Amino acid sequence: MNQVMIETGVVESTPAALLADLQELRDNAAYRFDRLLDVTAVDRGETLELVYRLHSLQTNCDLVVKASVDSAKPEIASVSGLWEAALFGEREVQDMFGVVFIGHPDPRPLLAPEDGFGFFPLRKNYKLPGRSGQAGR
Amino acid sequence: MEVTTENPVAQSRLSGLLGPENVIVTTVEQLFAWAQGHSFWPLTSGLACCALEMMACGAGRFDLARFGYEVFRPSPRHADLLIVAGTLTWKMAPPLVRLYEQMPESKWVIAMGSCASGGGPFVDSYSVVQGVDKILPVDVYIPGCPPRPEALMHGMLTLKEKVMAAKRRGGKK
Repeated sequence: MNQVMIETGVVESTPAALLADLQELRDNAAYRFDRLLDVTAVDRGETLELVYRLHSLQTNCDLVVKASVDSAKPEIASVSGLWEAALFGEREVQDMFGVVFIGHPDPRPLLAPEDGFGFFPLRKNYKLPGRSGQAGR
Repeated sequence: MEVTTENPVAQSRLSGLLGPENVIVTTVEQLFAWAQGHSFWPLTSGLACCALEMMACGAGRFDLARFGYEVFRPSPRHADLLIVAGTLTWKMAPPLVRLYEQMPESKWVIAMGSCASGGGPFVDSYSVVQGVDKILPVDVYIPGCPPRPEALMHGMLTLKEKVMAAKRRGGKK
């Protein structure tokens, strides 16, 4: 193996260019980011910021790729075709933030009930109902 | 009729039951209730940490078999007692209801611990059912977080009393 080198960079992408960018990062011999560690998201208010954490077993480098989508209509291409590890991560983001992953082969709720929560718990505008708030469920 | 026992409680109970020639006369319903109350077949249905107390209850140190309740069944078709031992989430609620519906009559439900009884420490969460009585008919609630095995035994003996008393009254369940 090469020398141990742990660095984390952050690069911004766009929803339109995301798939091409990630494929380049995965396949280009200069990068070789062959592992997807995590898919998550951050609520920035007007936008939802998708966060993809990559890791290279060849160089032992980490890289964070971000892409922002509109909070009112959050849609982005699924990266599960590049890394199967995205399958569960994208379903979790779908349950928690309401992001629609276009092209996901199995978009059933992962953590939410089969018919969904009816809300998105990790969005900033979601308030916990408190102990009397579930009565109508 | 003559009953010979040193125990005054047993004396009073037996004297009402025994007829001539030491024959016990009762109704079929009471006989069934007596058998059911002394031989629950619980479903192996641990959801969280309470399940470990339930397992300890069945193991040698506490020995649930003393009461005839040790036959934990992995299939709901064989079980008549659903012990909800642990935190129930809305994700898990439909499978649990399905298990309950697969159990044959007569059947009973014990809500074991704070979570099953009313949500426990997760009562404010969006994902946790605030007590299984929101989705299932609960017969006995056992407080504690988690309840000790003795508490579960007390809960099952309380359920035994309930089963037998209901049949004595002639009511349902």
